Amino acid sequence: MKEKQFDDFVKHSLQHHEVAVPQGIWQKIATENNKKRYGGFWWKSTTIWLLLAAFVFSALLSANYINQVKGKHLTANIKHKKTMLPDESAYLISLEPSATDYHTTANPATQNSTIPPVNAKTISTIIEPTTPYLVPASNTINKLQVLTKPATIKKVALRITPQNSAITVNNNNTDIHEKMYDANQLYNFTKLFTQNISWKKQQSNNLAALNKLKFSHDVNDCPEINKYTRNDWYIDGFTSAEYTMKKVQGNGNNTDYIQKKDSAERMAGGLTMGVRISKNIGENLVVRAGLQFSQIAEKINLIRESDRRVVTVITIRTVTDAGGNTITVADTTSTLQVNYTTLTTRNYYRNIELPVTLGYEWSNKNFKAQFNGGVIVNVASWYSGKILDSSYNLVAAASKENLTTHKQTIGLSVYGSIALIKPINERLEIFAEPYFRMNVSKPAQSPLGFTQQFSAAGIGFGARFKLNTSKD
Amino acid sequence: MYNVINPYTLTEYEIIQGCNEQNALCQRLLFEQLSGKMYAVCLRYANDVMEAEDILQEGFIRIFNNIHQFKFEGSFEGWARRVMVNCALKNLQKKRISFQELKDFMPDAPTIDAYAYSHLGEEDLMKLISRLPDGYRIVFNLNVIEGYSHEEIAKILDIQPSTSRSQLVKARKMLQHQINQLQKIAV
Repeated sequence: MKEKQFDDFVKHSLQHHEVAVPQGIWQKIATENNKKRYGGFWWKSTTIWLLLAAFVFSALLSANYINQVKGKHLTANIKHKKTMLPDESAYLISLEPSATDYHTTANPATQNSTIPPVNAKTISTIIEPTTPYLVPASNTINKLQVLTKPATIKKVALRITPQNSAITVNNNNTDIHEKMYDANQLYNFTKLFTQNISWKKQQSNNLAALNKLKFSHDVNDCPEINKYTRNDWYIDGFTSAEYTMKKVQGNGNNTDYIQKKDSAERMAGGLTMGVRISKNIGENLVVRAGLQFSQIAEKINLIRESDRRVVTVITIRTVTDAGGNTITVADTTSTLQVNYTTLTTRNYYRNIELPVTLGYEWSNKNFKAQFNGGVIVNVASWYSGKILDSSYNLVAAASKENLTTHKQTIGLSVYGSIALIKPINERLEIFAEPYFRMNVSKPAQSPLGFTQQFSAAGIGFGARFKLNTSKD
Repeated sequence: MYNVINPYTLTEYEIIQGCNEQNALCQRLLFEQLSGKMYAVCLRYANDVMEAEDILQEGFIRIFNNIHQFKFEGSFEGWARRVMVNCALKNLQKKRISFQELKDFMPDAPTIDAYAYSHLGEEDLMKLISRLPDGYRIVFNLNVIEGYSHEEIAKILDIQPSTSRSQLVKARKMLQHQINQLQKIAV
């Protein structure tokens, strides 16, 4: 037998040869397939990458904010009065820093200062560890710098010493004035001078005054300074009603079926309810994440012909002819009667979802508005009701074993909203939030040859509770 | 009374679309349709039944994970067969198969008439092929049954085309000799 003949013989014998598969192989394949599907989920899922990106973005924003807070300088302008006392320039204003970060200034007017350096240790007991300090930016009374630290500012100690005065911590020296002030108060230094200082060289309303010093502080009614910081956590509870929409697309080979399906099905609204955690970041940003349940209702009205019947009506009448003979006449009328039945059913698409949004917040004392955008990750979904099969019968809908029209794996929707928030008290707020969401992940596919994609517009109502206190 | 959809009335297109959606029922249907042929492919490449089962399992998982790459151009069975063959080759390559030619003590292949072949069943052929050395068996399967050229086989197996040709010649000779032996026994 020639080689080609031999090869052809073997090929034809074995190319389509089948061998019975041993028992248990499918179970192994199914188990392994499920492992691979869910094991690879994390890195394959676009959703997870989006969530990671949102997390990294938030972290970067927070880090940027922290970097901006560190070493921040607030400059308070001092208004000069036109007239100044001759002795005004003799006053030094200095604030003792923490024991580890000590700075003093010498009398600018004299090169050889008679003022010894202040011993930080002797006065550290009166200084809060996180106190910021005022340092004369130049050796004049014109301008002061406040160096803030990331830690909360609790106290500010001001020491005002007249020039050429020995600096001691002995409070018996009436030339030295030292007092602690709460950091969350606004300072009018002129007022401070006139009201609190009572040594012989002061008493002039013409003294140079500091503008209000504004310290970074987490109090809602504090006036804003550059890079005002917020550190609020909220827990929100909400519920919403939705108008839902569905987009159905066939595969081109089932136009009749799609038309029948479209005519029979109507969306019947939806609802969403859930909880979420909100966190303010920086000046205006807010990030929210939570858990919610959503339901989309669908109504199917299927009109079907139930039976057909021919109704025959025979009318018998008698006719008397001219000769007086009675003739019986039967008139037969036939009508076709078609009876229809309407089958009505409701289907529900139910989902457990993780919403994650990033928003921009504008606020004043009485009102807040948030503009939010983000994603909703569908982590679980199920479908109850009936579907139209290819024979136009209503059949029981999905289980995992049966054919299903509703995707039962992870899906992704985009979300946008405007939240209108009204504070009730320091911790409680209520809000209304109109929104729109649209399914963007791969549409649910059916073996019947169509895909479905859902979107919804709604308005949510809820309340939010601030978890941290004002002093946190 | 409502009817339940009969999954066995689904077309191949519908089954593949269902597998795309990771529908367990469609995957099972696909397995039942193709498993017999694919298992035969695995048996031809594997050294034993255990190895063939491993290749079959891995092959079907690859089919399910990559079914979205099938664009309905050509036969799905042909596509699945290629996936299965690739899986078999990957499994065999882990064992670093040698393509050295065995010392040949056999005379040149005898001339065998068609009578000998006509009584040779598929099972017998499968057994004969499975007894071939690894290199001979792989090249024979790829060239004669799957239809790859020697240049393509050389690329797949990272050997020279001349090696592929000589392996095929040796495989054919060995098979024909074994068939001849069988015929003598039968007679």
